[in-house]
Amino acid sequence: MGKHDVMTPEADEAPFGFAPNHDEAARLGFVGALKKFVNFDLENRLAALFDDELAPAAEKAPETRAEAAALVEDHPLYQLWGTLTFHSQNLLWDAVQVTTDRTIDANIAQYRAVLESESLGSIALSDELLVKAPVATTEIHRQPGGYWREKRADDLEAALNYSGTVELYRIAKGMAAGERPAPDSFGRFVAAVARKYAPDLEPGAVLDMGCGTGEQTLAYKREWPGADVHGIDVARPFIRFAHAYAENAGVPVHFAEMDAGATHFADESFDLIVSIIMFHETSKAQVRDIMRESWRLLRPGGLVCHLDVPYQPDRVPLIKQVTNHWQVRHNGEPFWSGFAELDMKAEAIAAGFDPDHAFATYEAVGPAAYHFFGGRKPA
Amino acid sequence: MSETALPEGPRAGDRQTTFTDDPVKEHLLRGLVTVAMELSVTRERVATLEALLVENGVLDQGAADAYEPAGEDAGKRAAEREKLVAAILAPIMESLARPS
Repeated sequence: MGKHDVMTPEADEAPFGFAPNHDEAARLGFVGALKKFVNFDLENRLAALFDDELAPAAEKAPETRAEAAALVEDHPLYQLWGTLTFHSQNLLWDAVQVTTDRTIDANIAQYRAVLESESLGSIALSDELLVKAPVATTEIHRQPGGYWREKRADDLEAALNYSGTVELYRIAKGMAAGERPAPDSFGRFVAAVARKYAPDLEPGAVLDMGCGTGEQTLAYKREWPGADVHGIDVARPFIRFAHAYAENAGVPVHFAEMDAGATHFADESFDLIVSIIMFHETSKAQVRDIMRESWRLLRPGGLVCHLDVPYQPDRVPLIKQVTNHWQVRHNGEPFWSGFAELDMKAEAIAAGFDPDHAFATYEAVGPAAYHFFGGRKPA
Repeated sequence: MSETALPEGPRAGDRQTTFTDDPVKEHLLRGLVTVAMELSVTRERVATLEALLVENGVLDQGAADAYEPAGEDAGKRAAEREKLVAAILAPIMESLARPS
């Protein structure tokens, strides 16, 4: 036998989670390459066209996103960008669905086996939880069925499909150069930023809001083994997945189906509260609820450190604002522009953080940068 | 849990939206990208099979590149090629040749 064992994809020891076979992985690799071309080559070519030809030829230099959109919307290159962005997303969901359909029964069986065995962490589902818009009403990222559709008992389909896109997302954003990153690399990044902003903090309890499939939540337990780590999300299939994933990884984490803007935790329950790309999938009202909840749940001396997309208009050229805003209408991102236009330091202050300890910053990871916001509560 | 009690999720989004003034050409472009994806998958599959055959001592390195079809096999392949070319191009030729 050579270095590649010939094994069937249905092998009994198949790991829990999204596990594409050879052809499925090749298909995802192609979609990643397609998205990388569209996000970089095509979008850069479009930016050059806008800067070098369309904007200089305009009667009045464009100053707003709407003015820039009016200049570019009828151009065939912009339309090509639109159709390829749209189609690459169709291909993405079609591709991951093949793997999910093939492995869903085995994954649900593994989830049930985890429920029946002694667990390191815990899972708490809630029949009272009301999922709010836009997650309630929109297929976020155009994922078929959204985050919370269930087609069968103990369903994990939404989580498997979502999980299958994470590695591809790294490729498409140009973040996959060199070594394949660890599955919890985003969580490790947030933990590193938290350490930088609060070097003296050794959290005894950590809350990951909008934890999704939970892969990143594990990073906090690995970083601070002595801490009680909790992950919450409104999507039940994600919470099931997260619990089984953590148990299979041997990492004790407590997962609960809960709204980050109205949790069931007592005041001052956590020393560190984090989230990763959750806020842009909420609404202005929910941003305020979640920031107030972050303040309420934070212990004196603790840190709130949320991560989200870095597309605030003052940082982004007009043409990029146009392509970002396209996501609102055509990629299931209703709050994408609305979030980018918020001043998150001001939101933190309005939620209770004092101006000297609130922050809204940017931190780089590889070629990408992310927006961080939150604050510390004085000890 | 009964089937009817399962959460339905959000309303299904549109997957057919087009962005140009010629939806037919646009869908042809998308079809081409999809076919390229499947070609890429097939190429990878063939590369994997070859690598495994070499690793397991079934083939020598380069054996597939050096292989020349002969006799009945070569004739069958030629016929399949010509059939595929005609299947794609003949209907277009016929429709353009037809008096309008």
